[in-house]
Amino acid sequence: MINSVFNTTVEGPQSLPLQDVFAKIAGVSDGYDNKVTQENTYGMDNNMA
Amino acid sequence: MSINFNESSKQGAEKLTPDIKDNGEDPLEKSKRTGERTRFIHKPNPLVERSYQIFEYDFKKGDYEHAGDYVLIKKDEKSEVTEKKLINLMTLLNGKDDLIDISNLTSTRVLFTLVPEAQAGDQTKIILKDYDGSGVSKENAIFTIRKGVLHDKFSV
Repeated sequence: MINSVFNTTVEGPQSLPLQDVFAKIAGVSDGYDNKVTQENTYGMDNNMA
Repeated sequence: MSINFNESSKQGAEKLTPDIKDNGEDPLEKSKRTGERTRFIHKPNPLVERSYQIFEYDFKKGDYEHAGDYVLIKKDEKSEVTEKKLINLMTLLNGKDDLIDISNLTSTRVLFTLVPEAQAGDQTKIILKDYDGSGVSKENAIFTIRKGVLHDKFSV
């Protein structure tokens, strides 16, 4: 019989800084720079010129 | 016979969800069947289209408890993008860092806003937004999680 306590694994820290979590989410989801490069329409450098 | 009971937990959420998609098994049922526990898991909300429920394992109760929601506002977002965002979010909440890069699937920048505590009640509420370079950013999704899972590192 398998002991249900033995094979229980709970991972993860107690509390995470939300700014760090969503900065990472944003970091891997950011396709905006691709769009800037491809279309050369947006982007602050154009506006500043 | 040798069984590694912790194998699924080590894999993290990014491995858990594709398994769900592959065999259609409910993540809660799977955890009960296998006895393996990941702290946070997500599953589609059966009552709200394009929304997900987030469950946290309660060690004292020995079962998963509803801990939050992810409600997609931008209903025309590709399911693949939404699902991978959720997987990344669960990965981070589970203390892991191996995220899926989905920048090639979007043409927008992700912004986020923390809803003030007075309005969010007993939950932490974050509004995710898309910025495509024109006009103002548009709301993408609302993520809520029980207070205490995340904290504002700039609050005093």
